[in-house]
Amino acid sequence: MKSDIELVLAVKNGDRKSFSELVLRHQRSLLRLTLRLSREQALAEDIVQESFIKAYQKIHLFEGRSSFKSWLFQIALNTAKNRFRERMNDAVNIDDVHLGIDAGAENGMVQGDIRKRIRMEVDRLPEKQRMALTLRVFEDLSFKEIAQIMDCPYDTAKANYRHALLKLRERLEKEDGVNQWSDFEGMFPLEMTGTLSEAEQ
Amino acid sequence: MKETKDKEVKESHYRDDWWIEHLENGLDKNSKNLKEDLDLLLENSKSGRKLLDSLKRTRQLLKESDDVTLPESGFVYRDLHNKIMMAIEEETEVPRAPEHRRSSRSSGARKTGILSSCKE
Repeated sequence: MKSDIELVLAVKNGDRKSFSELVLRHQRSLLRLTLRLSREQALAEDIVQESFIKAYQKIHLFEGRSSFKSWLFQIALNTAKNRFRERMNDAVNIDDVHLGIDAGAENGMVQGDIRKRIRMEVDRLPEKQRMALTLRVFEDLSFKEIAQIMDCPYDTAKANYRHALLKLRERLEKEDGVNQWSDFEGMFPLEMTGTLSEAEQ
Repeated sequence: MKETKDKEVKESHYRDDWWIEHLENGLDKNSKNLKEDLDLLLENSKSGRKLLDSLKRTRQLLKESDDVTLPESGFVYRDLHNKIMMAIEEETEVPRAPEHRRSSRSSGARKTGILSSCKE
């Protein structure tokens, strides 16, 4: 099986079938990312389509300094931002907008549903922090890849993730009371309650 | 007793971001001493364990909260793939090296449609 880099080289030499292989290889993970960003399947598919087309158009600019997947994710992220921006009122600063938030989520939230609350808290995070958190936790990407995708220094990617996780923890604890964190125990399958919590007892 | 007090004092100097580095296996070779210190602290400090534990739980809960469901039908992916490849075949030439692209532009061969409207 050819590597992504070999396929990219073939595409640069005019082999369109190799690009077809790259699409087959990455469309699923790209759709997962764009679904996470947009929460709308039709829009997510549009962003995937546009991202691959842009990638094809600009493939001569890809120099292999990052993985093809990271490069593709970066294109998708920018494409998604542009799409969301188009939907926004021009007066709104895109950096202040929490993408994907359900406006009615807070009011309609069931108090006991911690998953809903976490999603809502994630949506409240600043965009860059939310992105770093999403790429790390849900996409299992390294900080190096996250930095490439977000087009920022490595330390910035880490800092965004760190701030996001700390903020999330703080908000969840604040809401439930610092000493009531054990209320969440029931949310975990048994195997997820690690040795550290056992050591506390 | 004195040792415990020393640890408590020392503990106050540990920062949240170091615990996150620990959690993410982000402490590299240069941070070996720090990792050893953190591991030692974990063995002896209830608050250190509690902090790391709560960070772990936050991360795990976050992962558990994932509500994105990918379509299972192969049709969705075949259709998406076909749309992408059709758009590429209809609206682009095979990509060439930049100098070739420049020469084709100078000959007036400009493209219209989706690709020409794409901006990075």
